[in-house]
Amino acid sequence: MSKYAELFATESRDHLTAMEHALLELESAPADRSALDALFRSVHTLKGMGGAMGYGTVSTLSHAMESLLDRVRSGQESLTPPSIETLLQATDALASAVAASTTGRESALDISTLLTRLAVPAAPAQGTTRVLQIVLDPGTPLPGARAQLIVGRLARVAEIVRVEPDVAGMESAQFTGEFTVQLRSAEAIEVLGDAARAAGFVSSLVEVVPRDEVRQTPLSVDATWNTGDLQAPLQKYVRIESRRLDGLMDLVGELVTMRDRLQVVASRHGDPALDEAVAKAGRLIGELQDGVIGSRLVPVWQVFDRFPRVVREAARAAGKEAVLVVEGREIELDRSLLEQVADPLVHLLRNAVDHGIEPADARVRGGKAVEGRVLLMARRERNSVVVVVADDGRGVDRQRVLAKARRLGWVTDDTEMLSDDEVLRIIARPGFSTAEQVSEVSGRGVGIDAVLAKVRGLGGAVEFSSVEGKGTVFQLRLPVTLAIIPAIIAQVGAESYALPLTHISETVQPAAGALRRVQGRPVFVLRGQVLPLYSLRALVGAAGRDPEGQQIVIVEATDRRAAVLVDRLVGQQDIVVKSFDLVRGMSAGFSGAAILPDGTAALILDAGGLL
Amino acid sequence: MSRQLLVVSVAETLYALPSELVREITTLPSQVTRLPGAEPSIRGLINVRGQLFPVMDLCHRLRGVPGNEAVDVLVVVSDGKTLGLLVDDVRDVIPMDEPAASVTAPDEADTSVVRGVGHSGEMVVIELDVPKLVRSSLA
Repeated sequence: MSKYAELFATESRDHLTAMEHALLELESAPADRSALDALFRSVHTLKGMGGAMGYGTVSTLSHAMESLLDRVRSGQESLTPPSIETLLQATDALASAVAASTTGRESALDISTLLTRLAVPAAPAQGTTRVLQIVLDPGTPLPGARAQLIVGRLARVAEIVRVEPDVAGMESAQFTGEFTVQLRSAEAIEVLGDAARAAGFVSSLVEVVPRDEVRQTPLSVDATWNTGDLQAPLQKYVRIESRRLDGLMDLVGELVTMRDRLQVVASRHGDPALDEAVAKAGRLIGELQDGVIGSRLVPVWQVFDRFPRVVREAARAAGKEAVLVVEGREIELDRSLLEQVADPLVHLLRNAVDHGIEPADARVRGGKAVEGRVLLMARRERNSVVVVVADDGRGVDRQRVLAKARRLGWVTDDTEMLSDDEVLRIIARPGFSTAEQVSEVSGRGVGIDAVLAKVRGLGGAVEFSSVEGKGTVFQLRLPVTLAIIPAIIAQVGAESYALPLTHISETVQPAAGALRRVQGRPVFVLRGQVLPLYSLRALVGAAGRDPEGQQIVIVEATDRRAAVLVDRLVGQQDIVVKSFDLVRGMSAGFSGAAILPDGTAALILDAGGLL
Repeated sequence: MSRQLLVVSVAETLYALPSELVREITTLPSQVTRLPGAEPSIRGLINVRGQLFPVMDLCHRLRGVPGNEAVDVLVVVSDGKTLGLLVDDVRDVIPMDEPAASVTAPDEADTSVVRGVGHSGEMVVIELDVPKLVRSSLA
């Protein structure tokens, strides 16, 4: 069984169980709206899932069930015992269809009888014996007489077969106000109910299924459902509430911190046996950490599979032709990260259709295929996942971007050429849009700036390149997980700060003369390249003066690099990222904090924000 | 209506906070991480069993001078945000009526976060507006 088929089978089972529950609830309380809604949701979800997987029987059957439920929800039809029975049988059939579909035996099923029964409003045939259970309001005066009055009203619309208790029983002092009426009628339950209620003092009235009768008239389709199909095969996937995974992740984070602390303490004792035990425990904790991180990973298709529709609709709205090509659907990302990156991706995809892909006639003139192509691709690169959004459209018109940037005073007048990096910086500035008119699709005030901010906030980076006439490429570099990241710990004075490794290209011991000033600004010259130089001491407003022997960390993001001067580098370690409630006035550029092995908190310097 | 208030002392003045907003009482750890750019009354970030939150020196906030003797931290939660309040001493939990909102303490440097003055028996206490205090400090 393929991975998708397994996932489908697992998820379907939950819905089938929910459907069964809801149906059984409806059986005893046909007017229970929440049970009806729950049933409808599950059927609807199964229909969608079955359709997406290409399982014809599943989607056809659930569609027929959905139609019936639709009629009930809109009040055209009410749920009668026979229709509930049909729905129960359809649920069983659906379970078989799921089992058969996921193992490739779908064609063996015949659901035609069920489909007919689901399609026809379930009116009981003339003369069917039905049973009504009626309860009088508590404290009804002369309950026996009232009950007989109700039976009399019912007799006007139905043929009364039997009443339980009988007249004597109703008039006795033991009569509780509960009685059943067996009658023959083809009327809808509402008609019978109205007739009974006309007599007054009816607290509740329900139609009960005469169990034996239903069993006597099995559907012909029943024979084809082998009970073996209903037995759940051993599940390969288990659904876990995400809150539990988050809790585990927190605990593992604490454990990782504790491991580092333990190593520090143990190293003071110089006991080889202790060192060995600590090292072993450390390895196990590392494996546990990998395992927990792994359990939070989900394939990107869980979000990517929504996007073909996004592109299709964006194209339709823009009057263009475009198709989305998805690659690397199997690549895995932390689930919370994947959820958070969905919005930026939607924006980039709409942007590609809206500003990238040309109208069909322009594409033909340019010698391109009529249909524009938008590529969405995920791939693994060392400790990160790269998501690419590329289009084969017109590319960015650099001259126009340059002209606009000049007009807005964002570049100096003598700027003649814009690099990819500069273009990104300009189009990412809030308020920039070269679109002549704000389009319905992507020009809604959220721009590339929002995309950049979001991705950076997740500890990622955005790269951009565009060739005029050929297309535009956005690359999102994301960490695989948010919770634990490798970082370098740097100090100024007695304070420690964590610098995530994703943004560090190297660390250097500056040679004499490498620190200079150019046009009054401090710079660091690294192998002939002049980089802006920041002092961590100044950035964090720490007291004290720069000591001798300071070190330099080269940080990079989106093709930009900078040198950061620190007093000391303590070392590299995995840090557990913790958020905290930010204090007003606090310097920007800190994306959270990490707990160090000694239990203190170190702020995490956000290199993306710094640059 | 009578409510449960936690009474603390800050610079020899008694202050009260609704006890349902106080999640726990802990002591100030030896290590506090300074938060660059934060107002002076914010001591910094502390780690309490793996959870990080900023701590405010209540004496500094209310009187404008650092409360150097203070070691007790009340962890208050308001609007889902967590803030530590550094106080000299935690006294008692008392029932108290709604404070007289018009009366303000005479020698307060900052009265914007004072809800009013009330009393329980002989004791006169200043009730703090904790949600306002948290809002004014946390982004």
